[in-house]
Amino acid sequence: MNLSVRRFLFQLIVLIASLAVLSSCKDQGRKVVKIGYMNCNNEQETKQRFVPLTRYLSDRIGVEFVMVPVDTHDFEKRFNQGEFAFTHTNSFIYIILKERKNLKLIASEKRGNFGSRSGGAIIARKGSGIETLAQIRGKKFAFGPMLAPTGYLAEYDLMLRSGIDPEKDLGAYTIPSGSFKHEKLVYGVLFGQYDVSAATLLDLETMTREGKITPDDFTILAQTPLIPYCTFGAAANADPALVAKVRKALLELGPADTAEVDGERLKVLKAAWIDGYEELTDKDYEPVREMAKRVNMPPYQKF
Amino acid sequence: MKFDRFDKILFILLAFAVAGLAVYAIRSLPGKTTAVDTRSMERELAAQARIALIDKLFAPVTAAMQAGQYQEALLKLEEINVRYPGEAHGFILKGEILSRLESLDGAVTAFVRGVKLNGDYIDKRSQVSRRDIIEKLLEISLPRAAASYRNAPGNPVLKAALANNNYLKSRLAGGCE
Repeated sequence: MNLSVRRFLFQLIVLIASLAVLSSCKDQGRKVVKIGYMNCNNEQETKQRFVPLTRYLSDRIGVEFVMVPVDTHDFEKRFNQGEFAFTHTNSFIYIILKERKNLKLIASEKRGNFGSRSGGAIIARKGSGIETLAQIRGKKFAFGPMLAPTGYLAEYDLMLRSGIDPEKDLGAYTIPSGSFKHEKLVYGVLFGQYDVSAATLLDLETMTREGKITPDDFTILAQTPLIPYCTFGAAANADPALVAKVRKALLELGPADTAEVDGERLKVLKAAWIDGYEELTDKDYEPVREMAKRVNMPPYQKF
Repeated sequence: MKFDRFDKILFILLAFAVAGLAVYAIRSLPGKTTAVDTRSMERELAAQARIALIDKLFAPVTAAMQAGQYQEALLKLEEINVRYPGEAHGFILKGEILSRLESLDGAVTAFVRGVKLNGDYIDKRSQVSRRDIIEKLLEISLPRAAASYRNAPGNPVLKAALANNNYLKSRLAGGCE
């Protein structure tokens, strides 16, 4: 190998090494912050919905946000282990983490007819002969996931307040297994697997819009109060300036905002199935706390 | 200038022609008015047909509302909106339902969308007017929205909510789109 070839190879190696160092500096220059997203139906759906939102936050704030999909039942444990500093959960998980770990409220999600609030309902199939709440005694009932504020907690509380003890007065009750539990409740009533079920208003609304059900198929026996739903929070020790930036970015997020994911530019709100964010106060979550106390559930559970 | 007999005959004929034209023009005026009437009637027919159609289309929604079944009404509205998205009447009914459910911000937003699409809903002479309902809603929602915004002037959501309230207030006062 002559001298000029050697010199050329040496220069090439130096160039490649410099580029590698520069590119790694670029990655290291951005602070990495993890956001734990509670899985609503399954991990794949959570990723599809919230990767664009996470990328939007990174672009807006200049911090490398990384999304971490988390199973609902593992959420508190993984948060306590410090796997992520920011949280996206339902309002029930929010009050648990607020009570136990002083989670900071960032913003509340707006989706559906009632904006940043939603509710639950108790439904029966039309023509089943069940027309009132009192008639659910002795019937086969299905709840949504146990940590679902408008698929379990609110309906359980509604029954207790109406003088019906689900533990004693129902014929039997169950929670569907696997993913897409909320839809399974509605279909379960429609196809006669259950006599009555809990159903979130958001799911009834979405399934109607998608043509999966028609309102004429069901009788709404009772409806729960409206309570806050999905919520962004931050660990108590999170940087207050960063929390303020995330809040601002979420509140300013509009339908035209986009983010690039795998070379494709996506509308952030549309991908996440949401209408926007609103700044609620912790006091707005008081109805959820009252429900949890009446139903004897965490974080107020007494044995 | 002197006029001979032939000239006079010509002048007389010209006078008859002008008089004839005048009579013709006067007679033709009622004809024009009839055309205007016809256009008014066409507009009226179209308006009546629209009212009849929306009454029929949204009958399940209004029936549920009258029965106090507001959640069913919202779901039926959702179903109709799939077939007729962007119909002003749908937004107006949604505003009414949310107003009755005391979901004020949602009600104001829905009314704004409906009124922007069709100003008849704010016109007191219109058969579909919801002016009274909107006025009553604003009596409660506007002071709340203004107070919320004063407490957090940097909040874009509260700013948008106040702007919606002010939009309806301006339309009630006679402002145009």
